[in-house]
Amino acid sequence: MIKLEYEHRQAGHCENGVTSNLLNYYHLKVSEPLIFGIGAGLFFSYLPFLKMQHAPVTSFRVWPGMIFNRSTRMLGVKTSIQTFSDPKESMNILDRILDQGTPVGLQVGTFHLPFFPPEYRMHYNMHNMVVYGRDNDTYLISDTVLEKPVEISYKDLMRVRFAKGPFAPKGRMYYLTSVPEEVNLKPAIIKGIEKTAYNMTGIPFPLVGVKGIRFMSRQMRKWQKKYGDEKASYYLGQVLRMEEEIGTGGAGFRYIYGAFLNEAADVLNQDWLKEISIEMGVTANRWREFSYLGSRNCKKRGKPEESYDFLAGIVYDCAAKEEAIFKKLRKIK
Amino acid sequence: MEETHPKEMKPLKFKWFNVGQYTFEKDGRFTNHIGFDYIPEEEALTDDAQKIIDERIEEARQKVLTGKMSPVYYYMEKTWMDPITLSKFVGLSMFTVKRHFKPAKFAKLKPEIFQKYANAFEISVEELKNPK
Repeated sequence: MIKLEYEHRQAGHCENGVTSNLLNYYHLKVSEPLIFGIGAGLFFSYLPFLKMQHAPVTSFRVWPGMIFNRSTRMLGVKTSIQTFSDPKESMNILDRILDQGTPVGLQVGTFHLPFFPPEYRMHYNMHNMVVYGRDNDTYLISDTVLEKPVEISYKDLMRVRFAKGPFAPKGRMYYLTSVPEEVNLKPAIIKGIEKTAYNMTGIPFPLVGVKGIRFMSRQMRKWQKKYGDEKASYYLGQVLRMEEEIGTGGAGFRYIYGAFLNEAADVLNQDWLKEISIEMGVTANRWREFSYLGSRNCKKRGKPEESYDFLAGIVYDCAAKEEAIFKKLRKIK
Repeated sequence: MEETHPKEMKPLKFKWFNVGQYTFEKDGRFTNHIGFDYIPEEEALTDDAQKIIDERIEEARQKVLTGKMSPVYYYMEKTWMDPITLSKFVGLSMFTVKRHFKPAKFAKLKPEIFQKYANAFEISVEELKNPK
């Protein structure tokens, strides 16, 4: 029986929450928004040729795993990441590392997670959680979407660690090996902001960043004509689910990023960042307005003036606002 | 700066989780909510997705019963998969998996392939061939 003194805290997003909580275990207080900003997590991509759950992939964040990698590297924390081909071996190594007194983060698939309610299941393989203790056959899990820590059996844990499907986790586990006593947040924050601003405005490819938002908005105007009412509303619903439901902290991470800019202004002593954080908040509210009106449209209770054209207009407006914000942020020093 | 702060700017309601949600207050603060204000059931998005998926499953069942599609298609919808996910589960290419949606192709498959699909859906081969 082993149980580490790991503090379970809820978070808006699983990966930020796990990283922040793991650092907190080593007495390094870095909040969730700071991790998100330093890891340059904010992004947008719309990939109509890649269909998941029968709808085009819309993502409001960077590739899974990147936030953890970048933020720990920027803070000078050394980590170890492993994947496995043999399930039994992976569990043995997990046991050994837990016995040494290290909490371990795991990438798992959500479809067979027993504590997820069946109605919320989907084949999503990029969920993160932390194991912080074990008894003979049960493991203690801290999952940031739940209010309290939970338990899981050996068999179930092995199953979710080796879930199949796209982006299969292959037993991916990660833990911190050495943590500095003090970190210098300033260069890390500046680099994080630079990277995000480049990702959003600088990449010369039409489907990502601000251009991607504009592209989605243009496509949205055509959905109804091209695919018919039913499919169009399903596509819209899928965008809204990615924006609001899949642990984004609301409005596709825009609220978290605003909170990050607000904290960064205090750390860097740069007041203009506070103003930009307010602009970010206004943009986030606009995104949320889109999801409210959109969800009504999905259920066919929207007024006639809340058509796809109208919704696409809101998205276009968001793109303009974000472009202005990130153009300013690129000049950070 | 223009005011975009509609009255109903509460976090969207989730049916099951109290996921931490951030909000932007009028005075320029960001706060982290964990508890939610109550929002009526009709406003939630989750239910709707569930209903759509149920409809898809029922539609797939009808297609299989009328002989338009093979049972693979029905079980794929029933286990919430899509062609990409299913192809990764059985270890075949997406193109091949989509071909097996045709009843004529499905009837000619080898026993090993049947076994692969049965394993992916966690059912027996008999059930795979004769869906209810």
